[in-house]
Amino acid sequence: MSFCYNHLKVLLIVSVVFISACATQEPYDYTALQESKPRSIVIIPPSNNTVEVNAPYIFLSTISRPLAEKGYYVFPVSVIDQFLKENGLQTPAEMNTIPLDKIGQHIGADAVLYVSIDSWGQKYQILASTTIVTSKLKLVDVKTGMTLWEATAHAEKSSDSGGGGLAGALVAAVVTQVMGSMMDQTPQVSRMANNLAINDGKRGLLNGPYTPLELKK
Amino acid sequence: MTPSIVRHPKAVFLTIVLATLLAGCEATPLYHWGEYESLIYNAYTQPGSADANTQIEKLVADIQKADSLGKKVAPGIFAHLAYMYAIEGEVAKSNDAFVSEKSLYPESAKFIDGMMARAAALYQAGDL
Repeated sequence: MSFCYNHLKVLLIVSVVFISACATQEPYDYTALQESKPRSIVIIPPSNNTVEVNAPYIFLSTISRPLAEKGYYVFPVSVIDQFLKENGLQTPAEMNTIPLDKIGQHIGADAVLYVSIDSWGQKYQILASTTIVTSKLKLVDVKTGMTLWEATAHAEKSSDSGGGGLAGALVAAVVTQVMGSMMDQTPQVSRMANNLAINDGKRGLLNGPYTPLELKK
Repeated sequence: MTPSIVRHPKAVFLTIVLATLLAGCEATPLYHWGEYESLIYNAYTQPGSADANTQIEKLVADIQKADSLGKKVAPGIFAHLAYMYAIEGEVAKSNDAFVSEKSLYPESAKFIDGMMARAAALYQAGDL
């Protein structure tokens, strides 16, 4: 009986911790974003903290859509990348050092989205593999240098083993890992991560100028 | 051990209904995106798989599709198309597409004007 009671006590403590964790999440402070009211966003190719060399560029193929659907003008990501390369900035690391006044002068964007990629790709487990993407997003006002919005975009997708018991799971894991090497899951997971971060009800990005009036609250 | 959900077809059915309803809640997209983002993906991950002409073909088809759906062409698509035309040396078409981007999205004006000025200078010098 006391065993059961102890378990209940632990459960109670754990749930209180969980609930308080939810409650203490502070509401996002949108003051700077509301004052700046950016109309346009230029995305600088991400700095990469992973070993996946393609990560910054795959990321670029997953960010225009959620930002534009949020109502912002998004500069053409790969034209901007080419433009920066033509101007002597060969790597994303170098591109992340451009002074804001140069961005204002040559691109005319209201805000810059800086991105750093912290995890990218598949983690193999015994029965399945999980594709994980984590990137940090930071929107900065080009004129003032103020941070307007920050978020961590994170998503995971596991290729689950389906039915068929342990043997089935073992076979399925091999199949999805083989398939996974041909079918890159990272764009899908990165898209999911960006969508979640940008559209989060409490800490997401606010609507931009192209959001239709009936959707603005 | 079969997961319990599989043993309850009703639960599966309900999940599907719920998922459909939730998906229905998603806001209608503002734009028709078509191939734009997958072209960017391909151009970087498999260089050579998406040369300028292939990209032009797909983007022009997407722009027509957007028109037929009554959707606005998404930010960046005309500018990307204009850049591909410039690579192919099609100066007039490139200018038209740049102007389309600018008139749809005045926020792009400074960048587009710079691109057009540089393209014009290259064309004058015979490099385009």
